[in-house]
Amino acid sequence: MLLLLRRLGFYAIALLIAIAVNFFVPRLAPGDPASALVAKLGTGADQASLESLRTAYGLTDDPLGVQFLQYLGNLATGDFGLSISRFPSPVTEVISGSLGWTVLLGSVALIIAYLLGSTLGIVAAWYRGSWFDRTVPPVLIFIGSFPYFFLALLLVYVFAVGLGWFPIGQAYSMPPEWSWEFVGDVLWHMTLPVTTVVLVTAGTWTLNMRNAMMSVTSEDYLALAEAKGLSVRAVVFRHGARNALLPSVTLLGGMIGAVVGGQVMVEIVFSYPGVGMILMNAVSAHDYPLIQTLFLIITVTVLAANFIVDIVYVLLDPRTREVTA
Amino acid sequence: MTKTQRSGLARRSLAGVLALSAAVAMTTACAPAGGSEGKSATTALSLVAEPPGGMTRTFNPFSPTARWAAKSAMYEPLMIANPATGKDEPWLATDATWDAAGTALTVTLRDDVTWSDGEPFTASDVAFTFQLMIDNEGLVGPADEVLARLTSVEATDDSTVVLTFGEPFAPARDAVLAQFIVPEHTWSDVADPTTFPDENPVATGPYTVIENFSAQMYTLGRNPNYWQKLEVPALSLRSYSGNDQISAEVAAGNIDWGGLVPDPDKTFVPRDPEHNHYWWPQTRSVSLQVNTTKGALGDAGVRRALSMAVDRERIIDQAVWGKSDPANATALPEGGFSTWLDADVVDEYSDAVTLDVDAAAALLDDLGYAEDSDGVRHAPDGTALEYSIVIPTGWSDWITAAQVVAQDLTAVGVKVELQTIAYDSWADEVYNGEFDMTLYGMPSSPNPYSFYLGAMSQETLAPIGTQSVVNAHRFADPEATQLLQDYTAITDPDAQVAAMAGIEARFAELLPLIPLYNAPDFGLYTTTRFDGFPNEDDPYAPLSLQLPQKSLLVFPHLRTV
Repeated sequence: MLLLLRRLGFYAIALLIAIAVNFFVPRLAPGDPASALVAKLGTGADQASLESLRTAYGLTDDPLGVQFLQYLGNLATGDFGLSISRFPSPVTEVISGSLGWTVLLGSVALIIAYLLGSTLGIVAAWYRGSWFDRTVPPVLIFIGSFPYFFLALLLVYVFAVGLGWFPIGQAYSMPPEWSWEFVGDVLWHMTLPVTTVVLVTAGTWTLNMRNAMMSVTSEDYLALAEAKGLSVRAVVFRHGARNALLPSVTLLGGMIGAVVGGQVMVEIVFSYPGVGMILMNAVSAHDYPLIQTLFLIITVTVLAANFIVDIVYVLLDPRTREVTA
Repeated sequence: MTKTQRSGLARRSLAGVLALSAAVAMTTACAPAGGSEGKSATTALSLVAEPPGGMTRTFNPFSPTARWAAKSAMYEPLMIANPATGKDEPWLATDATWDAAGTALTVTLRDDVTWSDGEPFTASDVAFTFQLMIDNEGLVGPADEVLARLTSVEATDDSTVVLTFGEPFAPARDAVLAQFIVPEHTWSDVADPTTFPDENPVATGPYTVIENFSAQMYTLGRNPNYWQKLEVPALSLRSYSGNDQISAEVAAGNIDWGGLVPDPDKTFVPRDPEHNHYWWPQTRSVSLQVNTTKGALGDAGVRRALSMAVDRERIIDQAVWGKSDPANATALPEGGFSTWLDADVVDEYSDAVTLDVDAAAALLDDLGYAEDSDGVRHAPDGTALEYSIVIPTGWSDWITAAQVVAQDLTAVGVKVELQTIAYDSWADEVYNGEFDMTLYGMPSSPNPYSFYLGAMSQETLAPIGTQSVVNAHRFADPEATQLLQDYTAITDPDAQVAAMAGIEARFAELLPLIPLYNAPDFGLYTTTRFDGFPNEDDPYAPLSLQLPQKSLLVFPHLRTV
């Protein structure tokens, strides 16, 4: 328990630092939201409109320190403010409309990558030295070393622009409704983005699982299980893989962070309407309230994932519970 | 466990596990293919007008980031300045007249207009809208620039509004008439109009019924009470992912109106010459903007020499596929400003915008900017004429144009280097006056007054470091300031045109901005489903969807094929 409390303290400090960074860094970039917008509108913008916009957006010339304290106060009361690039929509509304897409894409990709990657890792470890073990993990690691955006662009170029099998981007192309047709439309649009994330991350799972399995396969209880006459599947999965799972739980925490980061690029390439897309638009429009809240969500997600992993780890492995301060 | 046993097992179950992995992969790859068109695509007119990146349901017309439809299909202005004809088209108002003193503008309204909820549209709605803008500083609208001069707005009867100004200011008429009107009976209950999303607008315009809305697309149905006949039943709007997707959809025939395809004669029309059309009228000009606080660039003679050194035809060939004309010395394209443009002024100053490298070099020599051995000119005080021209990254037509400018100016000894920088940095540097050269796109406006005010009046001059959108080049001329001041007191249209000719001449003489070429208003349409779009043969309105309000002129003309 003490371990968990210590971790919790660490996460609280990390969160505070993240909030401060999220606040100050976007404001250090040149330009401000009103002038960015006026220039983008181009036609029909004049000085009077610029002043009106500044008033509407609540842009003040107060010192940044004062603004930061105000921001902290608003955060404490759960007030995230109004988006500037999609004025006057509240930031929470803009994000809630896109968070679902990101969670959908991220969780589907993570689950598929985990199942696929780990399965391949188990197989590679069990048949170590076989042609499978010598080719699949290295190839996956090679593919995984490409940046997300590169693989995404490659897939778009080949399967969307070239072959035309999949759409160039976005999450759907018909008005949303509860029907199988719409579900199919969504799955069809999801294929390339999910494949990108799976391709990049599967190799890490494979390698991780393979290494964990390697150490387990030399254990006596596996020999016993096999000697009992259990099927290979039972030996590998029920007796071997279960004991090799611990390291991949640790990895899960890190992978969620990596996927959240990488998915931003994937969403931008595929114009997928998730938080990554919104984040890019927010940054280019100097939409401070939106940028801050998005980074806050990303930070909290990554920290929470790691904390949950810490808890799960304690539950799964009795040895960690014995660690004393 | 023996070796043979192990390998036997291996072969069998390896195949099984591979099949399992393949099955997992298939769940991602084998999703059923959905249709690429919306359900109502066959009956709704599909437009390319919304920006990429997703949309939120905000139709508040006072917010510049609201949906396109708010100002172009829902809320309507009093009159619409038509750049295609140069006329003010009576819209919610039928007439607007100044009194003899030039301080009271009497606006007469149509009496057959109702709001989309069935309530009658009256003069009190108009008075309410202006009062709302005065009371709420954060509202952005065309009337912004004159609100400070407005002393009272009064509905004298159901169809008459009188706006009174402190002193005569003729340009106020355009700003007032361009103002869109919101209904008093719903907006008077809005607590904060600045942050009001207006998810279900009540408006006078043609398409006010939101049939469906999502972040990527929405469909608008006809206003059952619209005051004009409408044949097209619905509009379909999408936030496309970007130009690639737009090009693909245009090619697939899914778009009826809008979208930009490069070099349409090669890439668009040949696909279906009978139905695919484009029309790029010229209503605005692009100029070379030089920072007039930077030594030699403040010299009108130097600016004239630079102007003569640039090959405008080459810019047009390379930047807009040859589909435009060089700008004249007044910077006003004939298309948008036919009533204002003075042919004599254009003639008199035509040399200033005609390519003549020898004359440009001779003029620079005469002014004392001699060339050194490296081919770079120096001012009499010794500073080299070396500048950078900054353009936002990715603005390909401007980058191409700036390349030509840089080459041509370097050839006459004024060394110019092209720099592309991130858009935000560009806006920051240019609007704060911290740049050498860039390009300037003229704002769309019914009247040249605001353009010239920004170009050369003391009124718009701000010190370096203070943001100025319209006068980033930091130029003011006392004579021009006076001419513009005098103009504001004239209410007679003919006298206005005559006064404007003097302003045009002053601009052409000083070249505070160096006019380069007319920017085409990109517009294209397909007539497989709908017809009646404006074009070269019937130029009743602009075709571009990027000019707010102008599409209102087009909707009543559209027919179902």
